[in-house]
Amino acid sequence: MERIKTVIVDDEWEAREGVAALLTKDQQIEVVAVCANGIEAIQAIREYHPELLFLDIQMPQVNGFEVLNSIAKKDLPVVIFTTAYDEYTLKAFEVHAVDYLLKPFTDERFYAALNHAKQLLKKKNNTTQSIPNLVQSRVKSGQSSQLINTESSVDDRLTVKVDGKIHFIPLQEISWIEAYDYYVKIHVAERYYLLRDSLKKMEARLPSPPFVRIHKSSIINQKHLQEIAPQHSGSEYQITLSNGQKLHSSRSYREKIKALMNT
Amino acid sequence: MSRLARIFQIKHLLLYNAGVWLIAGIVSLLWYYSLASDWGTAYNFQSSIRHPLATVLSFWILSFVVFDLFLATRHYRKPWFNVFHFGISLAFGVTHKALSNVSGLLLERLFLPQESKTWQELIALWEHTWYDIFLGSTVYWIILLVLLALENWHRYQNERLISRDLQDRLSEGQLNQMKLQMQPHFLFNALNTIAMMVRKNNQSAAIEMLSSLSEMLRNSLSRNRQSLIPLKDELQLIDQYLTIEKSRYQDRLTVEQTIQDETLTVKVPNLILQPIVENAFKHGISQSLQAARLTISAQLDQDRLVMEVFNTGNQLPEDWSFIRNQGIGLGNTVNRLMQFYQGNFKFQITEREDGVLVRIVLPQN
Repeated sequence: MERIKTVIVDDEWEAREGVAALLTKDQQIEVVAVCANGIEAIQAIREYHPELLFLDIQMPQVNGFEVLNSIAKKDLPVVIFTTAYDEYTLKAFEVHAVDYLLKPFTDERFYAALNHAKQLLKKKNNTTQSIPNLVQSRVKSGQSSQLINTESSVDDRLTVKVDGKIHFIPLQEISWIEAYDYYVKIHVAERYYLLRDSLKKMEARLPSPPFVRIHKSSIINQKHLQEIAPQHSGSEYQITLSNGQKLHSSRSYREKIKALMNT
Repeated sequence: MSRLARIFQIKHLLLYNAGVWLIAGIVSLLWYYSLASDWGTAYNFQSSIRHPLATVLSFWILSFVVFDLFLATRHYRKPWFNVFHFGISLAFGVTHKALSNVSGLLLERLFLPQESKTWQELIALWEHTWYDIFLGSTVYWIILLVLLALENWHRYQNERLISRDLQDRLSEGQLNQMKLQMQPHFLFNALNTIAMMVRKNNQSAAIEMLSSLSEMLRNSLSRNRQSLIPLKDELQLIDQYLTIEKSRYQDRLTVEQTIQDETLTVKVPNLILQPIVENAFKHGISQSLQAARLTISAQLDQDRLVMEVFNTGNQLPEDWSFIRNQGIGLGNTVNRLMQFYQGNFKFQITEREDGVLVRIVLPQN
């Protein structure tokens, strides 16, 4: 019999290793990933397509509900929440978790939840059709949109949270970024992401090159640059991007534009 | 409502003023009436137009001038205030004498077939009535003293309110701190860590966690806490807290402590660092996806105690302001420092490239 692929997510080392240790006693379970935060969890779920997920709720920047929000419906595993405090019980019922373990839990309680999940999985495999509404999250996180601070130096993508859903935006797909009152608009192909952040912080976060600030309210990706045309006195430029978007640079950033033209 | 009424928060101040002069007039009238009957003569009601009616009326009108002068000078330094009002009180006496004579004359002309004294007579007579000027000056000072008394009373009331409010907030602050310390999340997660340690037969670590947790619980339950404690004791409390947090975040947390030996005996307000360290975890370390660092340092700098708590992870929100965000968390700490050291301390929060630094500078008693 094929073993059940399982992912464990908890931001506390002792807690996740403890769950992993409990699971080694069950031969049917194969732990494919142990994750320390929500971002890792989303990646692991997308990579391994686990059938069972032990998920902590309160975690830094991306909580358990937001992890579920960010997974395509067909990929959603059976979920057992593990949490320290029961302020989320109602929310957990809303997302139809199979069980809800309150820390600290007894061994009996843990294996009861596990068995419950296994039964559900067996039924699911027999009928070959997915159990309706097993996990169906409509939970909003409250904070509408923000940038997630991951290790910036190694990342070739931006991790953002919009409406309680995590998106990974590859840097090369970003054509330009626009300041928009208290927000920034990140333009990607046909759509944009609206984040509550400042252009100053975005500029600090993004590698340069390829990202160049050309105006008080715009940063462009030079890989999406199509044309630069001088205007007026020659210290301002009209910039055309590969998607046809026309932008103006301002005088104070003219040195950067000149540098752009030389490359 | 006049400005004075607003300052003293007495709604009908001007009405009361009019009432006082009305009563003064009536009392004066009755007094002259009884004097006349004592002498066995009939009281001449016609003479009451000149006094008390004109006298009191002038006082009432001029009392508004006193109010305005008081408002204009209430922030003067004391000697200037006295000199100014001494001069004005003499002028006030003269003005009042003139005004009461003029108004008396006009009223007599209005109501009587003939005035009792002509303008020339009044001027000729002023030397015999100079004590009226003295009376006017005295009344000026009486009004002024009443105003001063009202102002002091009002200030006293205000201070009492403020100090009661402060006290309420202080005890509330201490309660909040305890609640923070024993947040359910913190407690249950710590208990879970202990359970997991026991499952692994990691007995010594589990026992250490249990004793730290107990010590924290004991601390938050004990009611009679001293207000000033040696820094050593405060750091011990923090160590217990850190024992727990370190095992929770063991894979991504480093803690560095640099404590100068001389600082250990310096007395600091109880629970002065603890909430700051907790904040570092709440907003910084627990929210950080990467490896996090916490540093605590204490040193003496020219008789001043300098304490710093730094954590990586968070930045202050863009619209963060100390004044606006004072109500939460750190406001309590600042209030307590205010109580202990008045203005003689520093409390700074600064954003560093990779985190937030809190710096407290206290006098060494």
